[in-house]
Amino acid sequence: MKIVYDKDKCKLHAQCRGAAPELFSFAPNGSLVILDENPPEELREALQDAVDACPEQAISIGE
Amino acid sequence: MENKCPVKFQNIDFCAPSTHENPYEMYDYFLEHEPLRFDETNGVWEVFRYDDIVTIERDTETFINGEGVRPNIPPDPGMIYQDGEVHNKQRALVSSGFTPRQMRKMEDRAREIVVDLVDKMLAKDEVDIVTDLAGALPSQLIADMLDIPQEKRETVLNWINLIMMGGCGPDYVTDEVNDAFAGFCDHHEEMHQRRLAAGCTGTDLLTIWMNAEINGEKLDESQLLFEHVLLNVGGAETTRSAIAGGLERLSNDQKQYDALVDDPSLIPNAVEEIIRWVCPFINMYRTATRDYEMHGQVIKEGQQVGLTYPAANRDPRHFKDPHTFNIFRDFSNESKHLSFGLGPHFCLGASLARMEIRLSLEEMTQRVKRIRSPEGKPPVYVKSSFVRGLASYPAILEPR
Repeated sequence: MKIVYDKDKCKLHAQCRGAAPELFSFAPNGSLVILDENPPEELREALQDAVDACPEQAISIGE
Repeated sequence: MENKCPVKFQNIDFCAPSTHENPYEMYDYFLEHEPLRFDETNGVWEVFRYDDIVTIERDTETFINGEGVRPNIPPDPGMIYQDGEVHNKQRALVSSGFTPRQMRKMEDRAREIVVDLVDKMLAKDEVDIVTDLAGALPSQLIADMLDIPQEKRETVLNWINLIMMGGCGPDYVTDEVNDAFAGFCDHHEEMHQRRLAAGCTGTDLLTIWMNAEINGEKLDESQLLFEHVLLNVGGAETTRSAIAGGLERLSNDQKQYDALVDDPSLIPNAVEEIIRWVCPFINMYRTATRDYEMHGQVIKEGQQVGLTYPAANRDPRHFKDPHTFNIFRDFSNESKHLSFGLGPHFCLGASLARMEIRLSLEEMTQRVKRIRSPEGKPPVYVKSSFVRGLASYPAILEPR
């Protein structure tokens, strides 16, 4: 499982970090940081929540 | 620009609670004509436009939380006053307690509480929606999460409401506010000691903080205390305002209320519109770490800027007919509201708040046909320059 993140679409709503704090965080300059680009299967539900929560559709799940 | 400003909008004291009573004409003036205002009374800047708030919240190197988020009130060790990595780490200790996954686990319990509260209201001739539902639900849930003893919950809630008055500014930190804070400190110490005596084996949030380590170090006493205060602040009054304010607005618009009765799948969007409309936090402040030019003026290093969220939520550049309450509002084609903020400090409890408002609407619309105000008893608003909402909302419920 892979996190596919479109940086150009991201407007830093921070919904993904709220849904999956294990996978998303922020750098000191305010940009989004992906903590684990290939997360383990047990975080699929969390990642799906992050995908669903993003108002910009900037995140998707790759295999 | 100065001499064009109508007299009534000159020299506004933005920390005065009266400034934010029926403020939308004033916000409209600032949105249109003066998007950045220096408040001479308090020595702080205020911004109003959606895009300006977004710019400031995203630029976390220029605009920090670490010097305070309330006007002229110094920071404390709570996570909201941290920046960068320290903030990430402090927030991460409890963030898994507020995810949508966690909310799905809590939903049955939350619904039980709502059903019980609505049962009790329907047994009465007249209710106060603030105390009987809107305030009771969030305070019970956050009290469950913190494992606050049942008999202390009401007192704690009263202290927190007073403590929040102090957020208006230094002039509002009265003896009453200080007494409430002292009361909360004793209560915190009691909870702390009880957990120590029990070997810190619980799963409540305070125990989680007590057991937590950041870079191998435990949180110190004041960090524990202020995180504890912060969760109470975030968890109680704001959601109360949204639930009560949303029901009050809907009670005056039977058509939209009935639309939710007929099609409950509209409720999640209605929840977003309520949060946009009520906007329980009036503002949070940031401090500039360097001189920063905006709208032809300079916010100087060290100065504070207030982000006026309810103004941004009515910014016509982002919302169609912004002053119209519309449960059908198309947020994906307009914009997301800013009531929860944006970026690293985005409201930790957003999923919890959304669930609480949604469950309240689901239960009320299915069981109550109409909400009426009793003769001569209009809703009473909180007087504050920090939070907006109803202090009391007397109502008569017509059962279905």
